Amino acid sequence: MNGGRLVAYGWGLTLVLCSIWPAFRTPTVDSYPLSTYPMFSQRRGQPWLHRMLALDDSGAPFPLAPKLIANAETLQAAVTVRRAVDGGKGAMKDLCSEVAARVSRDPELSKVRRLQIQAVQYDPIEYFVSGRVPMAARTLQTCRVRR
Amino acid sequence: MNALRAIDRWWFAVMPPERLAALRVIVGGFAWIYLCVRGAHLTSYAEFPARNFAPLGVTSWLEAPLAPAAVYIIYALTLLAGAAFVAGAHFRLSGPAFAAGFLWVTTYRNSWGMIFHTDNLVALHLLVLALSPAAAAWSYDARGREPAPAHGRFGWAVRALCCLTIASYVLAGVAKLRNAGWAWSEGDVLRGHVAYDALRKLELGSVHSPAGAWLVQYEWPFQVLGILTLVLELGAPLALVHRQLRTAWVLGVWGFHVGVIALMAITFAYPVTGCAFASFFAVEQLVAHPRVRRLVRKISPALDLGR
Repeated sequence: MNGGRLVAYGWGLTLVLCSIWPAFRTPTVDSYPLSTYPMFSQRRGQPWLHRMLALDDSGAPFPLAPKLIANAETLQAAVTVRRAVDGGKGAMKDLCSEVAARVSRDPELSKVRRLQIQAVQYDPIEYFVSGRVPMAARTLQTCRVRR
Repeated sequence: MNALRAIDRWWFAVMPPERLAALRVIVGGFAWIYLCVRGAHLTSYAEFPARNFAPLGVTSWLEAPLAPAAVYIIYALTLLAGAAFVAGAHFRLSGPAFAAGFLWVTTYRNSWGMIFHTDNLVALHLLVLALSPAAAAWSYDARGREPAPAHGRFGWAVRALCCLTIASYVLAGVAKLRNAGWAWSEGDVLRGHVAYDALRKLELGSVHSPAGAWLVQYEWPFQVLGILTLVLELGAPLALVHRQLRTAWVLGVWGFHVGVIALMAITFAYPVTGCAFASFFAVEQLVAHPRVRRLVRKISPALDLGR
């Protein structure tokens, strides 16, 4: 077998076989770039959503832009909040203080006084059929924005 | 024995070097533009706190995040290697360097608890091209050389690109069956995902798809979409065996991704631009189009497009 054929089989075919390999792994573990491509595959049910809210003087809440929590990617921000929740009180406190520091430097958010990490449970279908009312909501962490 | 010979003949299908070169430009060009456009995002991870670091794949040996300067330097070097990759300059070095750099930059992006699935196929395609003779034509390395004749050594990489594309869709189908069973085709799971995606974006202050939010009121569209999705994903290997099925499959999958944009505001840029499917077609014939020839001559007057 010459060098060209060796690369063609040793590299090309190996990459193809490696890309299929995650389908045969048990338990299924997603990775990168070898993936099981699990997106959209599991039942969602009535999931809990973890989010960060900003509250102004009157206590009116509004969602914070993802870039203040992690970066411009909404999913990355959502995961950052969820990981802090999974990490417990200390991790939530750290995240809350970091985001509060960013908010305090943003002139457009000068009216924000407090931040909250919330867990909210929704039925995704009912949300659009019957109205945007959560099934349950819990405040997990609150921190002040110091200026 | 005959089966092995048939596989060997299929794997080493005789193809012109220009096809592989065109794929180098298309796939490499996509990856390079993607890195440029997403530069701010890809380098934003340099400033992430260490507690969120969850390395995987090629970054799994790291015990802590890289210093911010290292993130920026690797990103910049990858862009440099990418420009050489697309031009086919010093390809023996730039090919592996760009593929490795792209893999590193995108893996690092995925090493913070959230695995995005938009870059996998580009990364794998670049890895195949990196060690293939993709700079044997239409390249800086091949300037002034007689064009090589069509040969089996230009075919295997094209076949590998097609197989990787097919595998990614089959795996997505298999994941649906593993996690939800054949019930996935009934549409409930898909409907729940479209609804949850829109809900999450609304609640987190992001851009959602009003079309998806409206459509989740109805069950039947998702029953149709559920079946179609599984047929396209699990039936993907048919695209390797029949020319007309291949075209139908590519159009179907492209339509599926357009549907994902419409219903979920999620863009898989590589397939939506068609770049992911370029290996299924005689893309070298694109240069016969007068507009493409004019564009190439404008960008690189010295480039010999040959026949």
